[in-house]
Amino acid sequence: MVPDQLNKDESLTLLFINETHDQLERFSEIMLNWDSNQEDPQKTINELFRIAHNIKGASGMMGLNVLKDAVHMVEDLFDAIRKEKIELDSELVDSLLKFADDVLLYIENGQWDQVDSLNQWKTFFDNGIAETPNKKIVKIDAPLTLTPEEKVEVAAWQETGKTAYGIEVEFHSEAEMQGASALIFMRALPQYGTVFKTSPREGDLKEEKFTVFRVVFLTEQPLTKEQQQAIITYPMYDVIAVRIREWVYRPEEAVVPNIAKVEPHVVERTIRVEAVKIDRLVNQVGELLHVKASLLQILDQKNQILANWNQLSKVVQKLEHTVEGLQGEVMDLRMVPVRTLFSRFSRIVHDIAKRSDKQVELIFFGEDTEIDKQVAEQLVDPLTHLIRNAVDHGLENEEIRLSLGKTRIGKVTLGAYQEGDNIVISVQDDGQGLNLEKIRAKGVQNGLINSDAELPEDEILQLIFEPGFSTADKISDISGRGVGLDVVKESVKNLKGDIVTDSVVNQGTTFRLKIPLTLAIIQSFMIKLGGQVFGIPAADVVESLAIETKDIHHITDKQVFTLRQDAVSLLDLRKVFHYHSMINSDKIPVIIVRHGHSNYGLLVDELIGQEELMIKQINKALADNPLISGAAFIGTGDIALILDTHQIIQKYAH
Amino acid sequence: MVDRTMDILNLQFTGLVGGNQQLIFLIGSEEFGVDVLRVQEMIRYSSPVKVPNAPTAVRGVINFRGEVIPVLDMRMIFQLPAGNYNEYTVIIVVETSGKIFGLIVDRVLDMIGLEDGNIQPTPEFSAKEKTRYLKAMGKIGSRLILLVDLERLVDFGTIEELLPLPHTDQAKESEILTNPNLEDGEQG
Repeated sequence: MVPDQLNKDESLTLLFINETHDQLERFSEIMLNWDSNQEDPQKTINELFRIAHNIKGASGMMGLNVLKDAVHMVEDLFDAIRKEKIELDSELVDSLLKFADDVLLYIENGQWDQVDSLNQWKTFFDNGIAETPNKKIVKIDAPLTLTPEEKVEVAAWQETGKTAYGIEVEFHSEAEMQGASALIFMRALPQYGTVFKTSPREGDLKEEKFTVFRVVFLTEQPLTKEQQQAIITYPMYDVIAVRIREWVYRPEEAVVPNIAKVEPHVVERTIRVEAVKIDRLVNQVGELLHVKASLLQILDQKNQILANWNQLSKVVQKLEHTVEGLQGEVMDLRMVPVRTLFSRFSRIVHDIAKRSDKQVELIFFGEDTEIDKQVAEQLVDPLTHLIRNAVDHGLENEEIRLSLGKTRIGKVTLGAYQEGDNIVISVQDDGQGLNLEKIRAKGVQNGLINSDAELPEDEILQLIFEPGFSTADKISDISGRGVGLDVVKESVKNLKGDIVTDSVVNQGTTFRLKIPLTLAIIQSFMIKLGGQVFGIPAADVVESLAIETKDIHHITDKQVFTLRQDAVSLLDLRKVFHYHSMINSDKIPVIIVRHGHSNYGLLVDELIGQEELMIKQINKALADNPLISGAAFIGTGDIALILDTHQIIQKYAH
Repeated sequence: MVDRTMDILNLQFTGLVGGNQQLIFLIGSEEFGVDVLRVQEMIRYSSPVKVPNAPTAVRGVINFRGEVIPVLDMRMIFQLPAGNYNEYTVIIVVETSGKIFGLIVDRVLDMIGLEDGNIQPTPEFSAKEKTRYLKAMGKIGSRLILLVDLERLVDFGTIEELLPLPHTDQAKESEILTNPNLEDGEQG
């Protein structure tokens, strides 16, 4: 096989990757919504045909001949479907989805000579097109392909020094009982390890539409020669050969590469802008804001002295106006509708629902809510995790649902809305809800809480975000494997956001992720501590006030005061940071911040006011400090450190 | 009188092309060197913004060309008593492994080329803590130059707990923190 040679023009390559990416996303979207009873199936088939045709043309132009040939087969396939020679059934839909995944991986990996899977697909589709009298495809041998998530799982398995095998059982083409044989063979395997995935799937074996049965098989230790021999010689009828070989996934192969993660299929006219250019523009605006702040400061100080001050003040006002306008425009460049984030979850839910044998309806709302592109990208993993959890652990199986008088089909709702400077993303299921007793028991067992501790409901719910916490009785194939909600919490925290959990038994669970709209410029409360200026993200702040020293009550080692009938825990930042208080006054300024379900009061030396800050990441080497989330240049030209109130409260208030 | 050495050296290495050149500076009474190709710029010391609860040797952060970078006090890295910051004190901004940070040194001296033959490994007999951040020694005539291992310094802070903190500085630190104007010793 001659490896594919890619055309060397880089900008053309990027264009090709982007375009093909969009086309494939559209392709998968149509496939996912495929319903043969739809109003005008011909129209949809025509669109699929056109997409295949476009990709074929483009890959031919790029010199990617193997891709071109494989897509050509798909084009022919759609032609046959269009002419009603072949039926587009759910099995073929699955194959086409997997095909689209493989092509996506192929173009994004940029390893243009890795064409094995494409060749397999070519053969697969080539066989499928052969006309058959009953419109059905017989004995198709789908290649066993893993989804990117599964590859990550297998890679993680191997990371820990364990082994993965690929097993192939080839039956005679005339074999009749291969379904039963394969099933018995598969049932015999668990004595050596875990069956990770098979092709065909277990449920499809009895249809006997295959000649090759493939298994991805995970073992704790490498199989011995004897064990391998036992597998190869396992008694089955009509078998030509059983092959077994070790599968190696290097993690870097398994990770879905990030190049060309562009917005898929948007109806509006869009311009592609290099992210770097936008970043530079955002930096420029940051500088402008800085100038604006300095000018305003001069204006404040020298108000009475200069005669022509009015003139200057007008200029400054205009500058302020312009800068704010520019800021809005620039930030808008980074904003994308959450639709682009949500769309991928249709596929994920489709896959998990199939594997966990549940029927799930995924409902979206607020897809037009806009979100910073960078924030959207960082939300993919935590949302994937929450959605998997919802389907896997949240929703009950059909039987239980019906016995509870619920709808047969489980509902998962993914929504977004704006709330002040935050975007709220909610993941809701109508499943069994979180079992507080079980969580509490697990918390005691893991030593997170004392067995006699009386905790309010919201604090018990917080336990599920602790590292290593999992109430799932057995580790499932889908979620689990030691990765817990703590990872979700961590990601959300990195976005300076917060998670609120609500759960009602038998009615379901709702996770609300509250995330600042954008990461780059934030409204910030400026405070003074030990003569130094710090910023607190305004999104965290509920209110600020000054309290009398005598109103502070000491309960055991905690300081508390009462704010409108609610007891609020106080945390003296001056003590936390080992500063001596510079202010000796009866009134102490307090910033009330929200953390989880509770309010906390942070004692500071002085409140300065609000400012718009362009956040810089502190060069992490040397000064890696979880209490500080970044830094910003303030009007005076100084640096203000931005405090991470969530970290501070977590570390010092408990 | 203001020391101009720094400005002259800054000018010199704009035209520099390579060859084992070392920027030599003083910490206490010892001469140290860093690879000039790692040096971004030398700037006159001005007091950094403190980072609360950071290791003592991390004096704070400064604005360097629009980036917020941490600065390390090399006296504390090499466990020498704290010195005064004066008109000779310089922050050498270095870059390694994509990380930019500043080194506070007592004074910069000159730039010299070191032949490979004049470089030898750090002897093992001295205290581990002191040699942790050294990668080799260079010899020029009777001068002994200790070559700083920047790769090791990048990791500073992550292994901070391994280094015993000088206790006396702890008290002084908190005093300084309450009044940033106290620390600059420039009055002298």
